[in-house]
Amino acid sequence: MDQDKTNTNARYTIIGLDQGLPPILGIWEPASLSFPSFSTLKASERPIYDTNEVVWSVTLPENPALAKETTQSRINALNVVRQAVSKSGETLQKLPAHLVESSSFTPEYADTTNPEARLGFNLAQMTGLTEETGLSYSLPDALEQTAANYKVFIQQTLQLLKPTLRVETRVEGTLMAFTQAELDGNLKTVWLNEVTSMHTCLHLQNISFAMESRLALFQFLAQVVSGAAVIAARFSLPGGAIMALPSVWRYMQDVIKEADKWMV
Amino acid sequence: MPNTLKEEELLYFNGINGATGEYGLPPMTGEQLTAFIQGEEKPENLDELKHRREMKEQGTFGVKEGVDPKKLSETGWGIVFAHDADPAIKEALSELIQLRKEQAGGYFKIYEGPEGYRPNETKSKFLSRHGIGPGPVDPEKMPYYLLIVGSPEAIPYQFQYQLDVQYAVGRICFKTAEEYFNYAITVKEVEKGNVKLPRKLSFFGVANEGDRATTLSTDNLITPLFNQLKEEKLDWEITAYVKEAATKAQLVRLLGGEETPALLFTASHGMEFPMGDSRQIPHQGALLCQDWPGPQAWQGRGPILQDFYFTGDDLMDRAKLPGLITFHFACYGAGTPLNDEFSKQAFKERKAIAPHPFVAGLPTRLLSHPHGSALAVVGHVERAWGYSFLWPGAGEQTTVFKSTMDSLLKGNPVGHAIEYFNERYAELASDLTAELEEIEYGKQVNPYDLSGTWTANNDARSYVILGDPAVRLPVAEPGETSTERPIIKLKTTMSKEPETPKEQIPAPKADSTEKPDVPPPQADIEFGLLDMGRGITETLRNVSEKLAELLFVTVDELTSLEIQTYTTEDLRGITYDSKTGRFSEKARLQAMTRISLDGDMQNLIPEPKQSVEEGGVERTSVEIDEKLWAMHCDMVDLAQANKVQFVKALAEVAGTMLKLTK
Repeated sequence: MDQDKTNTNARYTIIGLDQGLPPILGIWEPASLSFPSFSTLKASERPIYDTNEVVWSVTLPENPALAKETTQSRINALNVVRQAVSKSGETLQKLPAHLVESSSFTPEYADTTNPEARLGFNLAQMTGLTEETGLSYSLPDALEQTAANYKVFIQQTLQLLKPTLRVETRVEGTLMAFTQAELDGNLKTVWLNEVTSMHTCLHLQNISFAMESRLALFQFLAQVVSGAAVIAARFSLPGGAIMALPSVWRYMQDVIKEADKWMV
Repeated sequence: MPNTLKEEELLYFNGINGATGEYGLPPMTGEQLTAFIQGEEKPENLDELKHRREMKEQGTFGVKEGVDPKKLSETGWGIVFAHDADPAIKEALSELIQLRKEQAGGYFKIYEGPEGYRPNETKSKFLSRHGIGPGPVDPEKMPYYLLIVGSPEAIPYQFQYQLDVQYAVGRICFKTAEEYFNYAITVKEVEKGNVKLPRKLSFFGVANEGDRATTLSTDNLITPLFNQLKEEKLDWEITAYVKEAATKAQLVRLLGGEETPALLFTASHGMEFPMGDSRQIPHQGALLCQDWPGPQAWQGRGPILQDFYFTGDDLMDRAKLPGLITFHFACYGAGTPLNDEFSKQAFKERKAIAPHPFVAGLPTRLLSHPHGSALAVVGHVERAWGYSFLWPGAGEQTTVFKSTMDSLLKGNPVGHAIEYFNERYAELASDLTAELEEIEYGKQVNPYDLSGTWTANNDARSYVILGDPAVRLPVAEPGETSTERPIIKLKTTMSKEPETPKEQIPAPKADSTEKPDVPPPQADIEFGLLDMGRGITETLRNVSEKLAELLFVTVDELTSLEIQTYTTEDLRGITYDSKTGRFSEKARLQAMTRISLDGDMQNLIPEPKQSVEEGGVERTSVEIDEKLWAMHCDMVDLAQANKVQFVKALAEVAGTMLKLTK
């Protein structure tokens, strides 16, 4: 998903993760605690983060209208992701049995942009129906790459599971407020004395958005797992549901990408 | 905190009635207690208690001179079944019985059928039926370590208490043969010698707000024990979780979680419930944690929530327990007798407090866990008494506890380590009996001295071992590399399955560049596939476990929701300490809301002062800071909405993932 559809100064970052990985849900850029994304800040301005927390940091443009618009566009993007996750979950539940029986899959299908076609191709490889690749002495490259990417996703999710979540709102680099959200639901917020109603509203939206994003990620994870279980049972995949996880994860990523293309 | 009790101080008992939320037995004065005590009957084995006391003065333990209590081949090991015990139980325990038979050699004995325990049999009758009189244990006649198998209904606690005076006695009591099997296999696996746990001892001391009993036990039992052992046992990693740290969530980590030590000592209230309450059998004796806000704060608020106490239900399915020994100082922590000792003394009648005597739910589950059990639980049957570690005018009395811990840490079997309590019981019982005899002949005694002796006597008598008394801590020697606590794979059925021969895995070749002469067989291809799966499974399992932990902590903390609003002139440099839950000083608390599970809401409202001059007089008015309050209220709404959604989503994900990774 395009990070800066609304404003080039807007930034949605999750600090405390391995850097250089794909954006989470296509929205949140991972960043490490060494703050390369805050390199413009002076040392004295850099926040002191606890290693036991993950920081969901939102930087918004100074212009209130633009900030509002940016926030709304991210909320819309998240809704699209959630709908896509839900839709792909439903599709997986009723995937046609003939999907992997087709002998028309060729290696080119590895590069297809059609989510269902690529899923069929991956599953066909796993069941050994594709003669071109089949079950050779090593896994087909495409599937191996998908499995590796899936592992990265899981590792990233693991890093997100820390006891405290911190949401902070910056306006053009200036920290306006931050909130410590604990697992038990407690919220502790520190506001800048001169915070405006507009900034208050934006920070509340950002907290809500960060929480919703975390929920969406969990729901995505659950859909991948239950989808893999259904697929493995329906197509009697070797290795069971665990082996189906990477393919299902890739399928859902593809669906999200496709949905994003149609986002207005 | 004084370390001695004043005579006029009330006596407190470590039990909280879960149904009413109040003390199980109201605090009372020494005089009131003395009135109860004067109906005390002489112990059935008074002669033996006196003999035991003499032995202590000679420095000898229960077993006869020259026998090493650490060697089962010298002490012997026996198992006692009720005369009509279900043969399936013995079958389920066959692996443990075989192990002990090999270890004890000629001093191994099974008491079953006609030789087993008979209804209403006293300890003296049981021993004399087997040709044994009072005195030190002679393994030629009866083994020193004796494992009672069965419920306290079939083999009463009274029999266990009295037999334990000379012998090292433990008990196991489960509902199903499978649970007996789980325990037996765990002990066998642990004693193979492959389990070498890190030398870790943890203390868990609750001190609920405004509660004298737990404050006493934490300040005068847990803290001194921790300090002494920490100083002396340098080759042990000793930690203490006391007061604010003694939460239920922490206990989850200590009982099967990632912080499970080799030996755990807890001191807290034990839950008690009235007879007929559906929670009595599963939850009586559960450990009430720091989460309970204390007697004053909870007054009039009714039943104690399960969120506040830890019971067998709270042990996770994936708990890692093998090798663990726990000691719970809590009312009913080990079990509950049929009758109340107090009504027996006071009214000369046996008032039933439970439909039948039973073993507490937490130790039962600890000792039968399907992924490998704990080895033993030491706890209290009946009420536990704070008086026992704090003697009027004499300060802390932790020697018995300390000696027991020392003995366990040295690697002695738990049955032998607990002898210090038996000695104390023998000493106190004979003193008490002598004192009561004097009272019968008109002697005037100090009621507080008498109540103290009686209290301590009951306390010492009622400690029991649940589990095999011959187990010991399976820890690595100093300097030796410890091992991870194993997950013991237990069978789900009782039928014996032929053992599958282990795969012969060839050692890696020295020259890794060497090419195989023939293409790898089909099995190798599958290994490649499954290997990928294994990596994912492992990662996925980690995620699932973390999610489950998150869920548990979240649900555990559901009792309240707190929203705090701070302001500051400069946000830079403000830090948050996740351990204390506080910000650094520059942040100023302006508003706070606490919402309880029952909907009660407490608010701290911002009130900026405004000075106005009226007629030359400066007046100060206080008004709510509406803007700040509105911001705070928005945050409260957000927190409430988020909490419900978060718990729901977490439960859904954790459930799905656990199903797949099981």
